[in-house]
Amino acid sequence: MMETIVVIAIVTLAAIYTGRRLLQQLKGGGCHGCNCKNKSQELAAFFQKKDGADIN
Amino acid sequence: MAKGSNHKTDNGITFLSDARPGQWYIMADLDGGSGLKEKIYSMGLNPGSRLRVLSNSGAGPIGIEVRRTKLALGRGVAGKIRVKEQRHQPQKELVIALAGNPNSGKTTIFNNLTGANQHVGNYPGVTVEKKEGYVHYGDYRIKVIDLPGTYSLSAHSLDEKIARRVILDEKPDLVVDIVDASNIERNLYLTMQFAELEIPIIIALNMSDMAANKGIMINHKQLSELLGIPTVPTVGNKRRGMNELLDTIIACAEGRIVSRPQPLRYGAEIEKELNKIAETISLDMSVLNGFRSRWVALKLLENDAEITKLIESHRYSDQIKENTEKSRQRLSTMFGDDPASVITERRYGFISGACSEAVSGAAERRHDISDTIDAVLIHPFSGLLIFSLLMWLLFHLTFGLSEKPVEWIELGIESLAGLITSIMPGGILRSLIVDGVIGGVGGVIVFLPNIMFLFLAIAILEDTGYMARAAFIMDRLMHKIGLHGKSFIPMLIGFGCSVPAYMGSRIIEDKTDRLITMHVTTFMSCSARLPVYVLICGAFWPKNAGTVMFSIYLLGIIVAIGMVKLLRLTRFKGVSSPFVIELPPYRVPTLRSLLLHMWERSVLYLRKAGTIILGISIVMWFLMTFPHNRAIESERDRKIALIEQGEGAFPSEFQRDSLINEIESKAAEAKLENSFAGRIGKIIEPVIAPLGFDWRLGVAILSGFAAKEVVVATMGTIYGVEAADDESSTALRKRLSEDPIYTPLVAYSFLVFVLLYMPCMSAMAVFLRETGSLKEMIFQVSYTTVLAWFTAFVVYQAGKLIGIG
Repeated sequence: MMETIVVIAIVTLAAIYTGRRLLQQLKGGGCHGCNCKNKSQELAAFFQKKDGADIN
Repeated sequence: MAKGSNHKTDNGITFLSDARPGQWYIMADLDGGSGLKEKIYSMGLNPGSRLRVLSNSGAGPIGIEVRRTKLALGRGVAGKIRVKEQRHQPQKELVIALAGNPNSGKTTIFNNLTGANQHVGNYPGVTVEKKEGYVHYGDYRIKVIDLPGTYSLSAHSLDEKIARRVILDEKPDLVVDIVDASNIERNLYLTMQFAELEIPIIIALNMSDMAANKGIMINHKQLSELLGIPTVPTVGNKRRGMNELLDTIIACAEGRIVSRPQPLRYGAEIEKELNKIAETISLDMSVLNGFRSRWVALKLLENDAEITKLIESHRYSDQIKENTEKSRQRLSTMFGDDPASVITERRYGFISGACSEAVSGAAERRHDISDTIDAVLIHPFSGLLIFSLLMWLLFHLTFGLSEKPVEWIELGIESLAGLITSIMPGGILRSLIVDGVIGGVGGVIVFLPNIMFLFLAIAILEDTGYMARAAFIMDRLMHKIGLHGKSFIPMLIGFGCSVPAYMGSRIIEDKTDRLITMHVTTFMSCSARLPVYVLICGAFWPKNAGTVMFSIYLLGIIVAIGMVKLLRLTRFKGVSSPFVIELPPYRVPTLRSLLLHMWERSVLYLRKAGTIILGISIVMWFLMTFPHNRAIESERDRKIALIEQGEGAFPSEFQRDSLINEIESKAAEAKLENSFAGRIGKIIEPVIAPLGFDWRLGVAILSGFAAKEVVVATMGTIYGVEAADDESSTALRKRLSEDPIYTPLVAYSFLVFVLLYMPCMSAMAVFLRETGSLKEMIFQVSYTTVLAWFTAFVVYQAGKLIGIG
């Protein structure tokens, strides 16, 4: 019984965590493991600069 | 030729001899030979010049004022000059600065534009002269400031400081950069520095006749597109191109032509340091005299004395100095050279790339060892061949070097699974840890050495400067097939990850070109697919894994090229335009820089394995384990009990155990098929069966939508769950290669499918955001998946037909 409860808890936590991460991905937040969010920010700064604005 | 009579025409043009005193006129043209023209023009009276008639008594000389100089013209000469009456004083003012290298013909152009009437004055605080003049053209009164001739804006000399200060103090509307066409590469260095100041520039490609005589052919339109700077060919000493230059200046001022110099990026490492310094600088902009914070940061990295002095009055000067020093040290260690030298190299790299595209013939380029190597490495034929060979070698070596470390990690993971199996009682918690967590995450971690060596090899290629050459070769190829030259940048980023690649496509202004690029970027195999290739290639072709993997990457590029061609002919018709690929000089990379690259990638890989992949592995384990089918378990237990009861009926214990194992294996397989994941897999199995895939590969493919590495994790969990009851733990690669369903043909078909099918969820979300079109996103998902299915189908069925399968 205890074993089942522990397993259910782990799976539930994993499902919530995964669900949140996937939701973030769907909102375009990047996949968080491959640095694409940072890359995106770098690129955003780069393009902002290109459009004539100071990156800062 | 009538002289002295009133010849005023309908369009207001008359001869100067008929002009009224006190009235303003614009010179239209001059009837006469080249000698007369040269004489009149040298006086500052040329077509477009604005003049005022001071006196015209109807006989004798005519007094005029042009370019603030009073002239007296004979009536005979005045009768040959056509002028157009100007009723109103010109209202529009423009300030332009003439810049250029010494001996680029700057003074000649200054005199052509302003006439002989130069105003020479001392620039405040310095002794170097700054010349000023005026030109009236069309509705404009243009103030021309002649900057000192300089090779750069680095403030090493007084001339350079003046040039910089004039730009800031006089705030010209635009800079006309006089470039000696016969020595274009060196001259463009100054252009790049003006571009960094982020002010509009026009290039006067001067002495273009001399360049042509030397056999140097410059495609000025292409050069203009590449640099983002309007370019006008001129021959100063023959007054050619002056009107075109003035027309372009006015068109720029009126916004009909846009001068937007291509931003020069100095590479991730330098940009990172620049941003850090610029961030502090931007906290107090009051002392910057109008300079942009990024430019100031760049100059600090270059150790510019004037800017270093300027920053002393900054509110955070100590912090800036400290940050700059640290950044300089970091970059010096990383590149093994002074940051200023690296920055200079990057500028020349950009120029070299632009010249390679737009200049042909015997240009006086900076011939050094890089040029000699480039003669071979960017040659249309040998370049492509060497690029292919290097890529093959890269994959081959990656597999060769990783073989042992992969085995060690496999052994470690197996031992860990074995240890947990031995200390924990059998049950769902043990299955979760061993099959879900270790099977899933372990299956991904095991390929860490491959990732490390691959990125080490890529870092070597990048840091030596070869990658820029590869980009150049590919850009040329892409352009030939109708893709925008700039497209190569997002496509190159796509080899890392599709998310920044889609964002990177923003650099392409043309919407059609941008969409095509985004639609084919997915075929540039992202690094998340790498573990899948490593797993499959290692399992089925252990001796030729590198070659097979190279073929997959190559297939991705070929499919991308084919799709560009197809999309260009069907959905997106049009033509493309070129782009500059920087060609930095070759250099020996530093060990620190290489290790840093490798470390960063490895950390990211492990972080992903420990977060999202771990989460998905647990969820996948649940979907593969539940619901429990009591009937299957009861049937298994009943059969095993019967065997154990009839112990004596078996000739040997081995035979009895084999039978029990077989029963357990079949029961596990049945349980898996009956699980949630199994049921989903069984639904899609008919669709993927023609590709040689069973439902297990179907589930792995579906899970890959979350992240491509999850394909490996899912396969690890599937095999873990399937083999759970036999309590043995074997590496996933071995299990795959021993599976009778999966032949090398099925494996290759699977690799092709993984390469081509829809990108992951993150990438699709960014695709939607970037295109703003659900229709395009649906098209992307649909066509890539259909293409993947079709290509894998052709591979599998063709393979079977010729007997490979």
